[in-house]
Amino acid sequence: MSASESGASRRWRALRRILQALFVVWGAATAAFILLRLAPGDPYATQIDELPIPAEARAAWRAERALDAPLATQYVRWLGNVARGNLGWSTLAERPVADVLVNVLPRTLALMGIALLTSLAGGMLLGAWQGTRAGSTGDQAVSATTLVLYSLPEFWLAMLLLQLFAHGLDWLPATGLVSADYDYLPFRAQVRDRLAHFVLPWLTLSLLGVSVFARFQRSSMLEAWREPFVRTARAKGLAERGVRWHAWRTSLVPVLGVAGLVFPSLVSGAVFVERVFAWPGMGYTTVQAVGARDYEFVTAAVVTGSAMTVIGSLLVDGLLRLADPRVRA
Amino acid sequence: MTAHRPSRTRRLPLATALLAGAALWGCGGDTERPATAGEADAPGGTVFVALIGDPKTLMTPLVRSEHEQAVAEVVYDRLADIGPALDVMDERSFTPRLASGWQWADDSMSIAFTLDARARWHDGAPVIADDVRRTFALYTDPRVLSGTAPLLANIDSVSVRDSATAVFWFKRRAPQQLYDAVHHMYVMPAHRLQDADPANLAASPLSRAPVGTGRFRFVRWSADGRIEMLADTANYRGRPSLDRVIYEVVPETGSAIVKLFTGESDFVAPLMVQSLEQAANTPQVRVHVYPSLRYQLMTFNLRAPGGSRAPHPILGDVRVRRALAHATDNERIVRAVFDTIGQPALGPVPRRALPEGATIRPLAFDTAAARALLDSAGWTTVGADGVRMKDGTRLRLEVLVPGTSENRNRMAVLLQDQWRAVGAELVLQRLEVNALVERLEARRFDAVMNGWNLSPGLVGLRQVWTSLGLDADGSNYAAYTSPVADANVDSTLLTFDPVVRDRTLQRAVQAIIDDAPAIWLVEDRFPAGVHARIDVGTLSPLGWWHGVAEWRIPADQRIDRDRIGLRTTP
Amino acid sequence: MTRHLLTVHDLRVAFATEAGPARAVDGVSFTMNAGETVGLVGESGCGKSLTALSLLRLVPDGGRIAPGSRITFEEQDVLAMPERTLRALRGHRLSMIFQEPMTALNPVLTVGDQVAEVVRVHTTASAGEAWTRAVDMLAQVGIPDPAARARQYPHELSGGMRQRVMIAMALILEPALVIADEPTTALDVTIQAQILELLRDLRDRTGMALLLITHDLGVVAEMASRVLVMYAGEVVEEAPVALLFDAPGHPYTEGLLAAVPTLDSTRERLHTIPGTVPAATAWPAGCRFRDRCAHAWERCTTEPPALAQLGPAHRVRCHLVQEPERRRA
Repeated sequence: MSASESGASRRWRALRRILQALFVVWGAATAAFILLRLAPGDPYATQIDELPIPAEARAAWRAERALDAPLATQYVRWLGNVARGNLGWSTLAERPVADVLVNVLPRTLALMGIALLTSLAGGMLLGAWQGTRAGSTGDQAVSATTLVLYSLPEFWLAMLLLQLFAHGLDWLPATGLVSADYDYLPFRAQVRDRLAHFVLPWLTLSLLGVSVFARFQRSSMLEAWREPFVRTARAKGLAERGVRWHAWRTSLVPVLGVAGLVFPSLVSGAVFVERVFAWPGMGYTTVQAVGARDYEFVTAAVVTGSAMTVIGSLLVDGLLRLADPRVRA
Repeated sequence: MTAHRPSRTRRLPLATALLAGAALWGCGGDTERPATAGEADAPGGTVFVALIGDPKTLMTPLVRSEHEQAVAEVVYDRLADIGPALDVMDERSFTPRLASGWQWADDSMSIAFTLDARARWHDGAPVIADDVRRTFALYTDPRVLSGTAPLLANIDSVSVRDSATAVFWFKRRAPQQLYDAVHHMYVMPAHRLQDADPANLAASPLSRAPVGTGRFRFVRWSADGRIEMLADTANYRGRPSLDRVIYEVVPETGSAIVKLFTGESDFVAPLMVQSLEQAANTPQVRVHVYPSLRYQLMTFNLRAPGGSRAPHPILGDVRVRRALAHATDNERIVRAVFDTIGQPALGPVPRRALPEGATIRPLAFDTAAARALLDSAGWTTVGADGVRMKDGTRLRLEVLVPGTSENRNRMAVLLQDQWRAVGAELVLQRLEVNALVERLEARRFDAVMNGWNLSPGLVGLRQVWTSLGLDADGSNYAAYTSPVADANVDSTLLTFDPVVRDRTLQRAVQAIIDDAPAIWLVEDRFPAGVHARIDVGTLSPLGWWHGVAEWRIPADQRIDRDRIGLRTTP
Repeated sequence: MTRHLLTVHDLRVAFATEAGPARAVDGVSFTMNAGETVGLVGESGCGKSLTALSLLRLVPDGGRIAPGSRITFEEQDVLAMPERTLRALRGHRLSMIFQEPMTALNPVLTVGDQVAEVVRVHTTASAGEAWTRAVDMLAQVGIPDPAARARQYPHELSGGMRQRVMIAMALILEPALVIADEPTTALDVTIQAQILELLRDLRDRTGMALLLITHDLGVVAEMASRVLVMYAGEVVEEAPVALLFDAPGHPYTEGLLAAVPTLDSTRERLHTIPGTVPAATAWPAGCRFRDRCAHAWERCTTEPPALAQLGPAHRVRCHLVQEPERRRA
């Protein structure tokens, strides 16, 4: 109810949120740092089916990278490097971690960002449409479809779409960011080529996202549809469209609330999508890096990922405040 | 290290490196292929190769994975190639490559290689003997930590006699001296490595932009992972028939196969067995099955788990191991998992590496024999669940299965089923590969589903199946020793007499089979999917990438992308 | 008296339930004149709110107004008119004040918007003009600092303020008839009095007719000139307000009156009518009140009483009208 809040306390609150966010990122990175080093293997470990690496060579390699130092020492050194902006060397890519990040991060952000937007928009429209027609044939058909999409493993869905659109119908290129001969295409064809390659990964993630959001939006809309203010809106003489808008506007609040929760599941979906569609982004690279015990890339990826999650949750908070005056203080 | 492994664990073991790069199988195409009318033979064409994994560096001392090997092979040259017979002992079977010839010293303790005078680095610099010296120095520099270095252990040093002659000095007289000198190293451009830090070789520019002498020159490595190679038209060994090869990373085999079917990729290897039928029904795709020296097995631990020297309570008894071998119908397992692609394995050496006409007697599938052996070993009481017992111990073994390999999992499941029939219980333990290797190195296991890629020199036999591999970082995971096997493997590797070699090899293999330190499962053959317009000749057992410079596309079958020509910009 | 503002004739509303149709409103007829205030009283569940909603054709899902029912408002057949005409009527000529101002207002829209929306829907006024009128109206319903309050959301206002907003919304276009469904129930006593005062004021100023639905006879006594008493889906008594309080004709009305707390009351406990209302799916034969009636005799079990004329403007649905001697002391 406090309509006015002093600037000082607002600043304090913002500061607290930033500190919280930094704490979360630091905590996640530290956990990743420790867990990965405690896990069996290291970047230079013997691989199955390969002749073992001689013990001295292994020891020399570990000494070279100071991996033989106590964990605490390694940790302090790592913190110092990160503080100076040095993210280290990726043993998986044999390149500086920063170079790899600069390549893979924008790809994932573009794919996930656009897919998230289409998922939200599509899910909200579809779910709202269903919520006002609960039980109708259309609603049931859509519900069945979204349920199937929702419960299908991401990998299968990606493979299914790949088989259908790339192989069966031959409408879209199968994988990659661009065609192999991209460098020889004229400019306009290059643009078309990039867009065409974007469609399948985007579609897969969007279908997953839409099905999640539509289900939330439907039940939220269904609830809002029963609220007394919907009757008020009718009593005011609003046409159905206006009435629906009233209900939809209110139903967004819980949906945006879950958007923050859906985000991580979309990220895990992205791992499979990136793999199937050879979209070399954050998710795919990080999973590879974990398997390869690429310590420095994984910790950097966790820092990036948790920072993205924190930013995402701040964004969701912001949207929630826009959508719901009750949480505005 | 590194990297992820694709669904089958197919990385380049040291052992492969050993032999790798051997002959250009099906190379020497110039003579094999009768020249047809000029037009059809005009060079040209672009091939898109899908790699089922990411190359991380093309700095050859650091190259480990097949994907890296495949790319490095076309840019760089060895001194000479092993011939198609893969005979490391017969000097006549080697064909010159960067070295136009070689001369043994009278005492056979050094070989002088004469470099091909026409050879030029792709940047125009001439190839000199110092390049060879520097290459050897890099491969063996302890700071580089090259996985190939142990294979060069018998080479003492390389010296420069004159700018065109490099001399290899050996520590000991051995039948594989020439093979060791020419086969394991790609010659690197010394003038490009002056500033390279041996401790961080991957940071050198050559790591991502190689400059070699191979028949293709490097064009670009795009941020999205495509690597492009262009025909080196002035190459001393002749221009390759293709204009261009573009390697593209497609980590998921299923996706790569779709690309093959849609024509987005021209070459995918290996295909999944499940996709072979569809490939056969796709007119623009041809399947080439190529052999390998790789085999897969279930290795037993003959010692009590945990690194003790005591015998394994169950597997320490050779009768039990032989019984389990008799209980195994590997013919059926191979059919079920690999269809017609794989071949049931005989023993620790694949058939094509055995002497011609060799007679090897495997432990045949015979459940009656298996039961009799188990009875005689004292495993006579049978529990309510059908599992045999002895002195209160169940006949129960745990097998480690790499979590990434679906094929090995399926084979283990079939084994579980077959052994149950004779009263042995097999428990599958699927593990992340790093965790599996940790247990393997600590010897904390009963059995493991693994595989070996043998080199033509067969030196792997000594490391895996003789007492030389027994120490903690050796690869004799079975802890198997037999004086007969030891002696015969040694003779095989040390004799200069081919007849003796053939005889001792057979004896060694038979001795190991009879002691059953493992269940031999499958000799791998790999199906490659190739666009029908491309003539790839015969694919080498050392790896499909060995003959890329000989691949050709007849002029009348070329499609749009084959006509890009030699430009490197739109 | 030939032209009534509102005529309700034989209104029947039924719900399909698993136990069969529930005849929640069962043959209600009454009329209202322009400017008149009529109280509609009864216990919850008696059908009074449903009757009110029927006037706007806002019967909840599952409910159906039976054929043969007729509602005439300003000489238009409400039940037969097309949606468009009906929408033009709602909130404009015929509007409604709901009982729960918290839930009946949309929580995520400003109160100014919600009031102005009525103007925008029914007139050609621009958004700006509508807003100005809304602020004016908020001032008229006694909201201090209306320009600032208009920009606030329902949760930022007190219960009384919210009800004033509801009233502003209902009255902004000066409708001919306002239905107020329990307008003060949710409010505390002092606020109740203020709201009633406000309603009376506005009624007197605009000359609107007011149908005041309540279970509180005290409110009726203060506001209405005429009273309809409903019980079990039927009108059981209709009388001018003074007459009803002086000489109630129906034993149920007597019970209701006895339950009214008066300011000078010395009784500790309120009188309550014993028994419960029968289920709408199975109205008993005969008089629906008989099980709770102190006077009931055999006739009451067999013959449903008709609404009988007791005086010139006084009608009662009870056999006692014909057989007053049956009344027990």
